[in-house]
Amino acid sequence: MHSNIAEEEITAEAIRDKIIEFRDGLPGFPRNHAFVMTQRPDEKPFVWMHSVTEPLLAFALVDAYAWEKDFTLEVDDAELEEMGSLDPMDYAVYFILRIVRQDDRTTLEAKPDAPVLVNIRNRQAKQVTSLNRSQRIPDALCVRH
Amino acid sequence: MLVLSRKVGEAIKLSDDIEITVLAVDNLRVRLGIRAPRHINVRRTEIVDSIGQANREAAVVADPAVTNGILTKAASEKKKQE
Repeated sequence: MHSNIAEEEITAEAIRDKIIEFRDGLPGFPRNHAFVMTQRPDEKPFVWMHSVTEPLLAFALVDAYAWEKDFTLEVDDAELEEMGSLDPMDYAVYFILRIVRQDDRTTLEAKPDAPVLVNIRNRQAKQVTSLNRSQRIPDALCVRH
Repeated sequence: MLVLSRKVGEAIKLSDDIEITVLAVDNLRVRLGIRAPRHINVRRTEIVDSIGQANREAAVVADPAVTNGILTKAASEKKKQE
């Protein structure tokens, strides 16, 4: 059984500037469970995700549906159940971005096959593995200085 | 590391509620069946390691000198593309 989270406008206002919890830690950072998402209006649809445990640790994220309007996430129901809701409308979905700086440009590289889900009602978060690997998602945005 | 020998159809238990059964062995590939409570995450190691490595590469120092303006520029560029 899978749930299809189709393109839908999901507001993330409910989680902005509040602590979200990765119960199992963020992969690669197992001791970091609590993060805060911040966003200035002119940064939308991008957000910063700051670690509460290590204040100097942060990640750039982007709203998955803004990055690719046709993005569809297929995820195991067990993942959603663990996060407290089977309703796709309860979730904001983000891609973590790798920031690569070069001489005259900065490239933001996404990893669409491992999106971050945040339950906007209970603020539980988890980085999941997308089961739908056949869709073509742009994986980079180039910004010139 | 604990090393156990098991035949096809045999299993091991991790505590009382996790059981791993050897379903088949074919050349170098072993098929495992895993019974575990739903809250136990079962993942292929290489996928978990790959995501962890990607996250480590994506981590930035939360210093305005490093982060200032980059997402604003990205948002502007994204708008241009739409």
